[in-house]
Amino acid sequence: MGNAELVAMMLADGRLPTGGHTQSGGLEPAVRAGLGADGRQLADVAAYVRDRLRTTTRVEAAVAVLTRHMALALSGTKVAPGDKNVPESPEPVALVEAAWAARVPSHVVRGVSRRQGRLLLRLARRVWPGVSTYLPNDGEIARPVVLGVVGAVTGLSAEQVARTVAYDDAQTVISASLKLLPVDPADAATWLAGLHDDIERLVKDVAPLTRVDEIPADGAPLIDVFAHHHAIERMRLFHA
Amino acid sequence: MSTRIEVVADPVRDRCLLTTDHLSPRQLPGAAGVVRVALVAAGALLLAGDDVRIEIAVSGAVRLEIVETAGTVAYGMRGGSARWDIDIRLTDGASLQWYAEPFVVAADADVTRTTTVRLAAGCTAHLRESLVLGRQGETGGVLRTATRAWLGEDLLLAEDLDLSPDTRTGWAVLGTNRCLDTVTTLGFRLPDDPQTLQLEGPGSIARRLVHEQHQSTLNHPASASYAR
Repeated sequence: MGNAELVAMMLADGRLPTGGHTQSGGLEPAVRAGLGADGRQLADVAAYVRDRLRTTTRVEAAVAVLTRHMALALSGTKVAPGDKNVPESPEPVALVEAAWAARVPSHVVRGVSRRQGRLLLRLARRVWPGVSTYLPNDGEIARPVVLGVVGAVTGLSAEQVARTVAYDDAQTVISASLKLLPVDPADAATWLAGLHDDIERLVKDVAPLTRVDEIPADGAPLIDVFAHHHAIERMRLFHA
Repeated sequence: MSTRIEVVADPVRDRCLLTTDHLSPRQLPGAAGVVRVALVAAGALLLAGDDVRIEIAVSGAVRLEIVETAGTVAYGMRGGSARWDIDIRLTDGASLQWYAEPFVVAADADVTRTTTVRLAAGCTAHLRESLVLGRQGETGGVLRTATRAWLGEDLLLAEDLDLSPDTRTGWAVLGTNRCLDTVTTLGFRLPDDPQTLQLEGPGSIARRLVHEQHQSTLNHPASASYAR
């Protein structure tokens, strides 16, 4: 249904009502800890995005790709019921979420993703009702899992799904930097353009994955530490 | 070859089979139901080309406590590399406590370190891993870690860390910290604490990123400082 490229643009658009403006991708606690302090080394924002693309965002993108893959495989099994060659897997989407959960050790970070996932799910079930085949109507489900299902039902390619996750994460951090640091918006857009190669490298790495145990598990301990500080911070601009 | 510690619970006397390789396990006196084993380096460690493999297998209602007598330094490897692989299997209600001493990666070292833990339901593991990047005043070399833990059939934890000098120093992995001190529990949780990560399944990670290893508050298991 529809044009996949337009769907990808909708998903990457900060104006889509899924609460994207409440997120800084962990930038706010990093700024509090000294990133870009005194307006110096503002380009550290771009380096921070690059580190995320290599670690946590890479995992997220792979989870979205695998969810899309599993959902499509599941819809394939419905065409041929009783086919014994199809592996018995009642909830392939839940399987991917379990793989994601084992790769995200922090309950705080998982909670943030699931809250974001719930917002996306509530919107998606209205806009693309097909998601109900794979997901409950409401519930806290990891955002990349919801996004992967949206990708499956709207005909996004694995590359488009991975690129959407990666771009969204980069843009989340960079646009938050405009509110947290004295950043020139043109500099911010230049950083984002400068990250295109990193995003495409991620897309090339994760798009071909078809097995849950191939999902990378790159961790970022400092991001976890910052997330835990932020969760108990009383004065904050962004939810996470 | 592997360094191997195999413990089987026995109503008369717990059986303990120790195999020396790069490390030499030595049994220490322990209370009833507890087998204590010291791990002592059997030669110079850790040098280019070293392939250290440590296998721990504990079965039955017994608790294995592993004690290290000294930390380990991975020395400069002049283009070579080394491995340090730990494989832990706990079955039939066994438990393991292993508070490892610091693992120091000197300048120009290149080490891959993996930890694989397989627990049957009802088993518990309590592990400390204290990684230090560089001795005093030097920039540590390359360290890559891979941790995988299963509880029964379920993957409980998967975490790979690239602690190479280029990737660790940003605002995501270690920042300017030199030490990554981690206590991981599997099969049970540490008490809730704002700093403690609670895994999806039964398990926790308490972690300190510090400049000097002694600054970490995870040092002493007896003081239970990690459970504050």
